[in-house]
Amino acid sequence: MKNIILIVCFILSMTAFTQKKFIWLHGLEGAKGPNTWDIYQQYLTATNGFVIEYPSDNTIAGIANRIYQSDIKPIEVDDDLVVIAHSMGGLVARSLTGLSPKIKGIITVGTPNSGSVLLKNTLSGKTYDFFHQAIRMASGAVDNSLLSGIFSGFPVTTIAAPIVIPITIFKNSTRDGVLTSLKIVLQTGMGIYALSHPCIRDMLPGSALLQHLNTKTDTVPHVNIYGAEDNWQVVRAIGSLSKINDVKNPQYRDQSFDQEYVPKMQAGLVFISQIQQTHNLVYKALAVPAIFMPWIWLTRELVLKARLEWDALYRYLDVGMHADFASNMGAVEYHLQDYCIPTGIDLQKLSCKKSYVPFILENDGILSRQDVISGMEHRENIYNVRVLGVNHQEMGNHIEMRKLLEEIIINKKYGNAFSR
Amino acid sequence: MKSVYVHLVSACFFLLNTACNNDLQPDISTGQPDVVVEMLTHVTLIDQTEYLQEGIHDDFLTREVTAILNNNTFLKHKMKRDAPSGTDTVFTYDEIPLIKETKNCTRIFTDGSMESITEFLTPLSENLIFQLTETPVSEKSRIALTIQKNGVLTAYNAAGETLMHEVFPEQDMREFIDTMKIYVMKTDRYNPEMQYNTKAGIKSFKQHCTTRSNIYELPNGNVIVESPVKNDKEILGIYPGIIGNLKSRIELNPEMTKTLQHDVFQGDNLIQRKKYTYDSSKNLMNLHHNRVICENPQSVETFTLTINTKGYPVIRHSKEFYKANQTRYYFK
Repeated sequence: MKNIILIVCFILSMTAFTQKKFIWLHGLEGAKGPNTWDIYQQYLTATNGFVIEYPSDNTIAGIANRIYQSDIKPIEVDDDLVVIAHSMGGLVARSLTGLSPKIKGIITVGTPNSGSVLLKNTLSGKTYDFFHQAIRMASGAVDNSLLSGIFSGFPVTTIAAPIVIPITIFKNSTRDGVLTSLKIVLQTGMGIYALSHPCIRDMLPGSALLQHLNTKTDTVPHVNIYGAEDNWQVVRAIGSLSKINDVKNPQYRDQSFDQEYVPKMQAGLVFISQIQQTHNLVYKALAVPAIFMPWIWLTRELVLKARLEWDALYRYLDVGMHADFASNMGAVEYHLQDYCIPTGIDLQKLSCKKSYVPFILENDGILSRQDVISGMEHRENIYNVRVLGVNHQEMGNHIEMRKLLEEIIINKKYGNAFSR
Repeated sequence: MKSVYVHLVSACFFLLNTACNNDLQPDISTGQPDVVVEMLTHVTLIDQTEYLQEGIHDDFLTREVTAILNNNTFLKHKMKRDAPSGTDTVFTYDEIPLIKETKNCTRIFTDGSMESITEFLTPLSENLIFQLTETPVSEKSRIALTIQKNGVLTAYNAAGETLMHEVFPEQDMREFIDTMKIYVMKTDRYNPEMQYNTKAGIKSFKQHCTTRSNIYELPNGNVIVESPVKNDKEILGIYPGIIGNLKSRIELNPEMTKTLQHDVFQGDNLIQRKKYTYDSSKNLMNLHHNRVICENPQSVETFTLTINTKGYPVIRHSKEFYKANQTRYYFK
């Protein structure tokens, strides 16, 4: 009996000694304030895991080396390790596998394994073009609408006032309130910062670090999580960025942080529709005095011209800006498609065309799918796993991500290497 | 509870829409007594941009515009292409046609208040542009109906679920009503024979027009009105390489009651052309009570020289087809 007890104790103690430790790594600048991974760590690996905070003021290899020396080396004698990392932290994790033989598995989430095209375009100044374009179109539509009212020759309050009121609302809520702030947030949030941090250069497509990581043999199993909705990617991405502190707050767990900008952009589109109707009203009203005052014809055309500008802006906010944003992330490829449109005034008579058209690939608001899995698709030991509905900044606090991590860590969906 | 709400919204919309029925009948006494202006529109819009091309946009390809295109290999190739090939490449999203069918009813009341109902009838699946993504937008998130009433603007999806509910300050339309009343009443008493006297119309124009305009009659009886567009170069958003003063050229029917074509030039360069067609359908007439006061076009086709998101000069081509395009006035 005594022997049996000794054997059980030995097995239990061995189990304890071979228990895995989970290391959670945040992304770029995640060290500031409470870490987003805290939420998962608390309930998934609280007793055998911890979050490592690190400053983003070094190269990625430098960050990995610092983390290895200060946080991993002291514990690697006893335990096997699994690293779970978000965004740039994934590149740090992949670098760590070359330093610590005790790392037995890595899970990367939204990591720019092939480099971030958005980052490259931000540094080259291309990224802001679509905000400039939207602001320019909005300003043009506003100005021309007001001018068309004034040019009518009627007292401004008579003809222009119905146009001025909805335009003022649009100007305040959408042009000034959303478009300009989107531009500023992105500029200050990424562009200016990127210039002074060496790890940014490692995340540019084709960097020496990425070439090294993507050509070396994988020694440990790797779950590479990618993907999210690409609809409304501009507002999703920037809305989350603007709410970053809320995203990090555990009390808002499972909440979608699209809530600020998506409704505002929707409201902007509804206001534009309303402005178009007001223009129609004025245009048709001017048809009556035009019988007596022929020069009113010209004013009528100016009103119609202004309304068409609103049409163009509506279309740009609805589709064009998102396409531009996706293109800036490298999330566009060309597919051969047919499309047909009515010709002449006969809506039933169609003219069809076959074209290569830009197709928006999946992206997570900051990274395209190509950024995350290109070069990782056909490698051994790698599981590329897609998760829907998660924005880059929400990855640390989203119900879909939690479900997936539970599957991997608790239910051993991808094998024992990642399980507790 | 949700289905009750959907039915309530549907019922509300039905009631609001009843007075805006655009299936017009000779008896239009269905208008409520307090409605003074009622505007009905049912339109399909098709919109896309096109590269300037010989044989299609010749009137836009002036010496200055051609010089700009010749400086860019890509644009030059597009311009010189003999005929559209079987396979093409779309470089910007505005090249993909967008089709949008909308139905609107706007009503202005005697107290100066206004309400407006707009239906967006084209589902996302009918526009290729919304399918060109790995995760297409859900139809549930598409705005299918907006109602602006009592200082609130509400948007619904096709299932009747509220997508947005925003304060939209009410506009006081009393001055607008007063102004329109003067012209509508004047038009209603207008001697129709005078409208058919082209010379009288031209004389009236010359008497009243203060700008340096020119008006003359074409051999086919149509009337041309040429006017400078003041000094507002910004107003039409012209390509920077094109210079000159803006002027407008409008072609009217002999009775001077319909615009047939409207061209805008900068210097000698055509920068915008609109073509109008009419079919004398009752749904396209503006009415005062039951009397026709003027006619709206059945279709408007617009070609505008503009700049695309890549900064290239292109033609924005839009076509509007109206099933209904009518304003009804009920002045006492």
